[in-house]
Amino acid sequence: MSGAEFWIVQALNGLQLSMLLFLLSVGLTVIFGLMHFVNLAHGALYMLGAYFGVAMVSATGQFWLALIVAPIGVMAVGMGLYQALIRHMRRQGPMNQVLVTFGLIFVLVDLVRILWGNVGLGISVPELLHGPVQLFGISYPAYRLFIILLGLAVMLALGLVLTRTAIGAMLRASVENAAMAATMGINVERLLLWVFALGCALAGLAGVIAAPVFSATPSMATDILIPTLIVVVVGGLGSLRGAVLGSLTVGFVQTFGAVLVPGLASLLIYALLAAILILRPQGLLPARQ
Amino acid sequence: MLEVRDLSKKFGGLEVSRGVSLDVAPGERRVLLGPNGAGKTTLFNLIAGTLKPDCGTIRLDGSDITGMTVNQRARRGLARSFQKNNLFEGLSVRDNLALAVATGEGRTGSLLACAHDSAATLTQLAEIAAQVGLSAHLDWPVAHCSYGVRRQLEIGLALATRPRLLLLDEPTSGIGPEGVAAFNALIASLPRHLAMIIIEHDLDLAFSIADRISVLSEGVVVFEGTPETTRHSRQVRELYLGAFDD
Amino acid sequence: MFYQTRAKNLTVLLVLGGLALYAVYGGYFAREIVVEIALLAMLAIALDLVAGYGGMISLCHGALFGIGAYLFGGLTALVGTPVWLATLAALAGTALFGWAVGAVTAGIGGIFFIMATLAFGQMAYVIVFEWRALGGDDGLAGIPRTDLAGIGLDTGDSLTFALLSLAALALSYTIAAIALRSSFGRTLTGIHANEERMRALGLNVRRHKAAAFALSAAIAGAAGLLAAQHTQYISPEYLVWTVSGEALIVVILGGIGTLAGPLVGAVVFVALEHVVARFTDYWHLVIGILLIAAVMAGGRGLYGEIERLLAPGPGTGKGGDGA
Repeated sequence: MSGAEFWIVQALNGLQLSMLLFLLSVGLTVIFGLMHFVNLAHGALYMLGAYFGVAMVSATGQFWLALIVAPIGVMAVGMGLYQALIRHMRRQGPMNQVLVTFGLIFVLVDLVRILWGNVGLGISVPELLHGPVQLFGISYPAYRLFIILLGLAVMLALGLVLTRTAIGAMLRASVENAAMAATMGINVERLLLWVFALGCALAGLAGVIAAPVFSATPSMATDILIPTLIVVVVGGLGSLRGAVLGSLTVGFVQTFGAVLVPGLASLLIYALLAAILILRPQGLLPARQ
Repeated sequence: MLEVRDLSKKFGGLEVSRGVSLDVAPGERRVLLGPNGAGKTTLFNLIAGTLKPDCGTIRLDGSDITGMTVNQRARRGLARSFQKNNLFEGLSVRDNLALAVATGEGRTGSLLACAHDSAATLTQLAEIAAQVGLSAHLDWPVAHCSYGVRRQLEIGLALATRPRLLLLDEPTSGIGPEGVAAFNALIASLPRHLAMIIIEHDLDLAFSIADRISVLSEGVVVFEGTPETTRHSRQVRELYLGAFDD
Repeated sequence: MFYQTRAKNLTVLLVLGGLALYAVYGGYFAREIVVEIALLAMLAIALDLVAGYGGMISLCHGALFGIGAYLFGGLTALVGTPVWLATLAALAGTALFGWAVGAVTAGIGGIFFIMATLAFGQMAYVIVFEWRALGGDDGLAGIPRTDLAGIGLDTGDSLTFALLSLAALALSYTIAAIALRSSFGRTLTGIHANEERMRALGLNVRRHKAAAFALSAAIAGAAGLLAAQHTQYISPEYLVWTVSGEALIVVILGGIGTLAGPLVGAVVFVALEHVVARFTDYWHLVIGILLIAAVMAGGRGLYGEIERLLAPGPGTGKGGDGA
């Protein structure tokens, strides 16, 4: 592999990680911006998505079916959690939110261990996405390219919904000023539930598509959590553009850091987080100016 | 003692202070009048250091304090009360005042000294409680106090650090005629060397306690004079739309 | 505002006395548990000092614990520094790290403070993890225990070490209680109750928060260096953020802002862990449910509930005397 090829592959890997982070962080950031609620269990939902995917594929052999059913399953779990717990935690202050969702991580991770054990479980990639494809004169795994394209598609779809539809306008108004939005007749409560549900579904989707690459393990719940939180803080709360910028930043810093300064890549990420919190706590592209 | 020169402050596109200048002499009691949104509280925040001005200078006793933090200014003898009660919720009235007195004395950092206060501190605490009419309420948790009592404590906390310049932001808001009379008596009882700037909407009270009055409108001082000249100023009359006709 | 009440005296004495008896009359395994409880309680006291009384919910106390352990372990096992000097260096080093974190994060509030402490803790974790000389992922072995032969104590003996750990816990509690009773502590509760007002009264809030964090860090570091002496082996796992999360769980279960609560919390946490482990591998499931239940029930914790029952008159909503 020549030097140029190597860097192209790294760039694509960075993009792929960014897309996973985007799918996870977009839900988290909007919930954060709308509800001032930090859901540490968001990573656990990602883990659930992966295991639901594994279960679907082993039951039916249908990857494409799993890609649709698993996120819906995670969404159902998320809505259950919302009704049972999270709804009551909204005005409880950050410490209690952190504690309850930290407890949820413990519960969900152990449930997964009870159901599926500790060993990593893989999903085989569907026939169509087997093998490499030729791209910019290099060969790159088709499946990883699929992750990138899927991430971009979701990004585009969310962008269109947010800017072109009535629901998007309501959502933007609510993030900007929830009290004002409520007086304008927007049912903020119902909006919250559905946004939360969508965020969970996207986390579940990220989990399914990550499973063939990394295989499903219980540690997914905490491994992905911190990078996702970093994306949210770096990008700015409640902002789609922020989630895009944050995911790309973290994805690329992590990928290229691992190549250029092995071992110190995650240190760079944490330093970035600390610097943003101290110097620009509203994040790079906050929803509220 | 306080010299404010050409203070300006913008929030986004909105200019809340547009070159405010103000001089307060030692021991002077100055009342700030002006309609809502005139920039009175913003001016307080600029003087106290909660906000940094875009330009202009603030001097206290001849030295420039524009770049100083809130606590540095407080250590130099500047104290303030807040428009909305800003108390230590969850503590008793006594503990509120004790914290304020001890902080004013700079006794905050000793790890070994028990927080039991010295006789001097306790005397001062009792004195301030008596001044603001809280002697009977010392053991009450703040959370259980009425609005009026909380308002008195708000002023008590500002007095507790023995300031030389006191900023009072609408001290009588929401406390009824009896409270206003008590406040009037309090101001009269305070030592004459204590300078004050008071934001006040009650005009009768303002005329009775002020040495001088400044009127703010749209971020600038539009009038300054004695209570007597203020009462008769056409400009002020127009601003208040006949509010002085009585 | 902190008062060393009779209920606190009684609780602390009961916990310490009970653990001492358990160590004396129990076997080797009991003594290991006593050490585990004592060190976890020290960490929880350190956390309660800043979180319960100062309102600074830290997610880097696991890292502070680990920094204490690694400073001590690295200096003794790798450099050959005498134990007493390494102890001082470990305490000073963690205090300095805590002071820096406290100073830098002093202006940050709420959830952002939690995340900032998380970031600093994880930075420490990554550095230790990647530092080859410290053994990286494999950890570091060959750490000596304090030699107290001079005063007739054999720290290699499990009972002696357990009792020494309890003494360290008692000392930590006493230091924290004295600090909280002092004007320093009263000022800290003032900051928790109303930071803006403290500033308006003339307090340098940043300096005070940093000092409180440094004191808390030193106690956490002491627990860490004792842990290093206990197992004579340390690994980067000490520093991971989930350890900080567990410390916070202990504080919550016992009662945040009560100082005595963390002792109760540590006993319950460790005891439960060992009991549950007899029946199932899924101890985290149990503690997760307990934690959620504890928070949903009002978050006062075990000791906080007791104190509320003892206190006459209407409660002020939140447990403890943290604000």
